[in-house]
Amino acid sequence: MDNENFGLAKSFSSAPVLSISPHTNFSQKEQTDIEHELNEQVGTTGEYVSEGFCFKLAPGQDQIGFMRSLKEKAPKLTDFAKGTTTLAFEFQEGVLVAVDARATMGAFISSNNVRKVIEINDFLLGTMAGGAADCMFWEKYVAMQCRVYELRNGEKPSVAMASMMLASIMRQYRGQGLSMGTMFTGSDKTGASLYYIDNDATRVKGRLFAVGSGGTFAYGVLDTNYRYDMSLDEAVNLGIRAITSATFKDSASGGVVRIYHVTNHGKWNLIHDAIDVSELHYQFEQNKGHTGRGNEGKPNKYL
Amino acid sequence: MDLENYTNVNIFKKVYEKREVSSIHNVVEQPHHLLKDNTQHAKGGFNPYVNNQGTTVAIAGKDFVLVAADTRISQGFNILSRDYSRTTKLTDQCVITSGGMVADIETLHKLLIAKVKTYQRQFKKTPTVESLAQLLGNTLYGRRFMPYYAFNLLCGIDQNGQGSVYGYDAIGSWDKLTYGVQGSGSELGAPILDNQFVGHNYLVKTLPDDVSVVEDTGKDIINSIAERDIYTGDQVEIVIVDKNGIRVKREPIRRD
Amino acid sequence: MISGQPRTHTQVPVNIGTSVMGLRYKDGIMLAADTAVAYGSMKKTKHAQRMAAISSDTAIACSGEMSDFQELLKIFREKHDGDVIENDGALFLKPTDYFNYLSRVQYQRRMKGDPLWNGSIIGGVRQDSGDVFLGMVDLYGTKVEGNFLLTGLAAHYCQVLMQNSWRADLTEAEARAIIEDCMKVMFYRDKKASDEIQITTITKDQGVKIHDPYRIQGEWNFQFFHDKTNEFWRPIRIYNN
Repeated sequence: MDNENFGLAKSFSSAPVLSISPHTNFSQKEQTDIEHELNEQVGTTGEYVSEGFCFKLAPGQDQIGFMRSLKEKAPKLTDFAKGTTTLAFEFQEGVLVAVDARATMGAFISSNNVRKVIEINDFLLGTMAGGAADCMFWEKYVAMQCRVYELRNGEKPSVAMASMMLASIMRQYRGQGLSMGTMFTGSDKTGASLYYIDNDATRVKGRLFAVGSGGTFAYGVLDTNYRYDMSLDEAVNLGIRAITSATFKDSASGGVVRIYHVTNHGKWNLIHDAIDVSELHYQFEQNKGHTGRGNEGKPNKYL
Repeated sequence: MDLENYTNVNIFKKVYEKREVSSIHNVVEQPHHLLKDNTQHAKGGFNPYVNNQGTTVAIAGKDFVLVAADTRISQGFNILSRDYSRTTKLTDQCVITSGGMVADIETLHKLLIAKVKTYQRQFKKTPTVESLAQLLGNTLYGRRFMPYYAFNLLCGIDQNGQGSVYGYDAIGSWDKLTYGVQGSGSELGAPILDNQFVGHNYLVKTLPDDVSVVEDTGKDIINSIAERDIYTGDQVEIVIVDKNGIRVKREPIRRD
Repeated sequence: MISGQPRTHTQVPVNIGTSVMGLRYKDGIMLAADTAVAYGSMKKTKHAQRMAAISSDTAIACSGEMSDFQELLKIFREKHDGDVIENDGALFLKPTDYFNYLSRVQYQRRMKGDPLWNGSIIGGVRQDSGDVFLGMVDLYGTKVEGNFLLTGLAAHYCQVLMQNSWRADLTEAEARAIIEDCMKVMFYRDKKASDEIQITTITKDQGVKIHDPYRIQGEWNFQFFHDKTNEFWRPIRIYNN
């Protein structure tokens, strides 16, 4: 507790700070990486140094202004996965995670088959919303830190701690233009738990979250049908239903549904890897007795 | 003078003054760098980014991977060069191909070549495509706060002998694909690829196995993009990676 | 400037030299530039040399900010001298080496947000093998090679002129005629250009040879220049059909 860095990412290990954690370094020059030799020979304006990589900073000291002006300076550069629907909820058998798979750049669908659940390690999962690269990179980084913790202490870190690592990183980079909204779930000694973390370093423990542009639609289905004492089958069906409804209404979400289940016994399972939402839609509508084309009760006006 | 109006004017004036004061207060409270930001952008200043455009397509096959790219680089409406090769060999089984800003692309390719060489010296083996994919992701993310203006596809033969394509965005999010298109004509090329190869809505879910068919399709796709995209044209460069190594050939297309 | 910010000398160019040209001909490379340096719209000097030899077989011509051109020359001189000292004068950098080096320098400065505001054309003919090289680097570090290269406004005005008249087997006189043609067009149309031009030739036999500047004869006596576009008495075509 007397450590001044208490609560920050760098306080999670007793190793020399440089070798284990991300931290800011504006003055020191580190000639460790080949990238330095190519870019940094004559001097530097400042950089972030972390193990195995170093963040090159934009010229000047005005990072925020630079990141904001990137849109005009380099069109298309900042276009990446934006719209999304991801949801996760706790129930009696653990946590259920359900996501769609569409990535859009403006109106252009860049992919309908994205993996928005990041398998951090064998007991942690993170979902992806916002900047895909930010989520991917930092959740992988947390995986590395978890492994180091495990090797050093002989036991796995708790989900609370792992999620705090991610939140601390987000706190350190706050205002630098990172974009991330993730549901961080995992299973430890106390069973499965669920956190919501975003780029403002918000970290909330909760029972039910839906993130992204289609999240509002998903909440509608979830809140109506959610019970804590659901069986796994019921939970999976609810997840599929909520994502399908959200992709039907939100044009920035779509593709396929992926379902993961985090058990209460320290691991997760992939339940469904890619069910086409288009097929699901017709299936659901036909179960109601509709065609799925939305023409019930309408006079046929063609011809 | 109407008394009512007079009062109203006064009220408005008070509100106006109040706002003035509060806004000045806000400005003083603003962090220093935000003030600086406003002045700097009013002047304009140097924009370190320029888009030299160009299109590149990559298609994975059963035991090969094919890259078709155009060779034009432009600055605004001006064509800078008509025979620029946007594909670089990293190992015998792996190439990288990019669209975007030429200076950044060349720097990135050079850096990757250096990293591959370091890897070879250090571990006495050639990096696999999978490792290079992760390496490229981390390299791009290392410039998160001043990104490479490069849109990349990493193509190679994986350890099972299958062709694989990895697609990236500018800051290093990546995914394994069966085909990919990047650069100025990506919006035009993507639907053709979806139609011809293993797409999400496509019924045949197997990778193509005939190089010559895929090669013709690749050429056709670049040619079709050149028909509608002003930044694509001049030549199509075909790079085929298979177990025998890398072959390159070029063919002329529209030069206007 | 707010203290604590890094020094940035040329975020806006001040003393500007206008476009330069380079082309390959039978014997080697010809680089050309006019000798004017503009300060805004004013011609600050009309007799400045905007090209230089950077080794025995390589020369550079620069458009853009002239102070940055001088900085570039300093960088090249250090590189060249260091190279000669290191290798005891036995090994020299090739034209392509200088070209790649320049591109790296420009890229590095661009990364600092403090570019050398130049468009440079580097030409060279290797003394040993006779390899001819012509390349262009801009302020981002973009490398372009070609048979004829133009920077700045000339890239708009003279591209077609060059394209139509360039052949691989141009003699020196023909190459000079093309350059003069292009320079004349630039003199007519570019307010920052002047009619005093300078040519550098690089050949295998003679190495870099920077010729004395001379004046080209601009023809201003065309009817087109006499007739003002908007004067009311100008005959227009509708009368003639």
